[in-house]
Amino acid sequence: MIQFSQGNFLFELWMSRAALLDALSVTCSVALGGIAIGLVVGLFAALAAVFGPAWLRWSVGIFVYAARGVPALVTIFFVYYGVGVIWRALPAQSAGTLALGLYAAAQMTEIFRGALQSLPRGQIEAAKAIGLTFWLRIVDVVAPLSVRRALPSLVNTAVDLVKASTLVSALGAGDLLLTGQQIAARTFLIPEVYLTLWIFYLSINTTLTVLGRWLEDRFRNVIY
Amino acid sequence: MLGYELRWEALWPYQELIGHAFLVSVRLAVLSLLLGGVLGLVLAYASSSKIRLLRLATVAYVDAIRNTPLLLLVFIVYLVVPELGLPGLDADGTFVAALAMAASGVICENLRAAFASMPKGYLEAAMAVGLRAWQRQAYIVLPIALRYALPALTNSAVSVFKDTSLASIIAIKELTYAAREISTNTFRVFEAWIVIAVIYLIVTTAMAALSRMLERRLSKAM
Amino acid sequence: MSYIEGSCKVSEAHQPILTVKHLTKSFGPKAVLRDVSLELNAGEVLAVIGSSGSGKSTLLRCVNALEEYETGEIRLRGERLSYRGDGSKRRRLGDRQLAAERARIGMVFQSYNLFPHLTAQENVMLGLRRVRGMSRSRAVEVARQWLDRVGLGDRRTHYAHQLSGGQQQRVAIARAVALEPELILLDEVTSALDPELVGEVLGVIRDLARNGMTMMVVSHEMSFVRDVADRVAFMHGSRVLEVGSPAKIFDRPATAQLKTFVGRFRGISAKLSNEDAPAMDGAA
Repeated sequence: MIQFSQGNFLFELWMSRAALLDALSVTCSVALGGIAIGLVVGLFAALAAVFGPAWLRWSVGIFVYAARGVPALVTIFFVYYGVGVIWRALPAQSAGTLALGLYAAAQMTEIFRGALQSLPRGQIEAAKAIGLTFWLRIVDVVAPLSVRRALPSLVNTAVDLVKASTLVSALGAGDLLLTGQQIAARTFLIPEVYLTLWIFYLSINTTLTVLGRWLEDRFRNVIY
Repeated sequence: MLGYELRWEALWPYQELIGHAFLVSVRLAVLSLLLGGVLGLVLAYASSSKIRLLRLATVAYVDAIRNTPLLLLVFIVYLVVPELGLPGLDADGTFVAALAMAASGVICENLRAAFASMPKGYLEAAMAVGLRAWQRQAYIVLPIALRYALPALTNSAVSVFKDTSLASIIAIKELTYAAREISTNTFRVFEAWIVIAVIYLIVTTAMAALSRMLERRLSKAM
Repeated sequence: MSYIEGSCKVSEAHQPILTVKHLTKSFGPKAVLRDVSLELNAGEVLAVIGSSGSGKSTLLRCVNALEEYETGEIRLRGERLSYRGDGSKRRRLGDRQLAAERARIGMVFQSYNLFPHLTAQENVMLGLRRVRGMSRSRAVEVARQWLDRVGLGDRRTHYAHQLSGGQQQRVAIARAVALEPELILLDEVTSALDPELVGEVLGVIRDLARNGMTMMVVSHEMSFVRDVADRVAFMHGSRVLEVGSPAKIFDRPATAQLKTFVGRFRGISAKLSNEDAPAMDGAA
């Protein structure tokens, strides 16, 4: 059966606390950075895709198609090596964050675009009918309704991004997975370490998933 | 491109390598999808079982697996499972097992949603005609549910194919591994990665197109 | 100009509030409005009737600039709406000016279009605060008054999904009239309602009419039209064929098309006299 060297494991965990804290910060900054980039780029790309001129709509379409048709890992390597060749070598963590940001952006563009385009025309007409100008219509009607509709899907994408953050370990960036692996290899406490890693990722993602379900439920009557 | 010239000829000697790598990717994806699909179907039925323990266990498993990073799962299967006394798998087997598990979670959810959105009338009609439980499922419920689930299942299949790229991390010689190898050997970074990206795009586009064709043919019957 | 006190329905003589002149509109090859002209006087209820596809809703939507039109003009108290310039120099006004025009014209839609993320009260308050510039406390007060007026005072903190269709439509009416527009447009406002809910909405409209609200109403509820309208316009094939008092339109139709149209309701209307029995009427 499993030999849980409890005393040993907690000791090792404590000894490695500096490395683990660093690793945690790497994972968090990659995930949060990717989400932030994704939200900003995704929002603007969606607005461009819905309101922009034909060439812009077309470009966004190509971007989304390419970013979604290719594995996240390939995007990561592409950005890392590509930027390294045409500009200068990026640190693994930055390349990873940027690449995951593009990965998230593609998904979020589709989410925002869907939310904007499926807004019932009647809502906009009612807003016009009471005399609201363009920006007031956006602020008081279009934005509140689109955001509520997009929110549950955006939370799902956030979960995807936390899971994808483990891929930066392939570039050698010291995220939680890589650091955990190093600790496990060094201390031979393999099941304990991986179990701990698993519990960690599970906690974060389960919390997010629950949040997503709650949001979906809360906005059930507002979502069109 | 800022001092970088594209020289596609550098890739010529690697044709066979890429070809083999492509087949490896496809094999991994197909195996994972088949295993994951069957497991997902079983889970979908288990999740509506009358046995409370089974229901809860299934939901717990599906939620856990959907919230676990695939790479972590691969390593757990590779390194932790042998420690528990169970027979260890080689790299290929490990990866397929992990990917199949991940796929089963997603496919289970796809099928559950399809079952839920299917009009109850079909099942009632099947009962009224005198079909027995397994017949109702096999001849009526499943075929119809699969049609409802087709768009979601296609997405899952495309995701599975994209996820085979993770196999490169445990040194399985699939497409992403080939791209790394070529770019390190030839220093032709853009050419290598563009070619591999294009191959992925072709496959995912083809899968989506096939699925749309299938949807159109099936929707005529419904 | 408060509609809360009653005022007598005498039109302010000289100028009609709304004049529509020679309006034409096509959706691609299909002509939807052909040389349509109409007048609406202050305090008057003008009903527009006709079969589906005769252009009635489109006419309404042109008045508050939800639709564009190719030729013709619409004037509100003599001022030209939505466009300026003539012929090749004809230009549609900008969003800000159109918004200002729309604030003077209220509209109630067939599918209510209440904002789902706002309560009934907030729906009514939105225009008051953003367009009329009212303070929050004043807006709450005014919204409450109007919701009381349509009989929904106790539901003002409810959301659209918590209200029945008839209640939602009454909130929509309150939302439109709270801005004290010069006239309101009612686009088949009972057509989407379950029969038993139609009466409560018609009651509110009748009440507004009695208090002097200028209205242009597109409806299939013939007995209601007959009862409440001051004048009725009959549209057919994208044109206005006849205009007149309800008595003239329903009892003494001149054109063949109107005779056919009215004939469909004759047997039923005779039974109903002046009551609202919405379920029987107007399934055009």
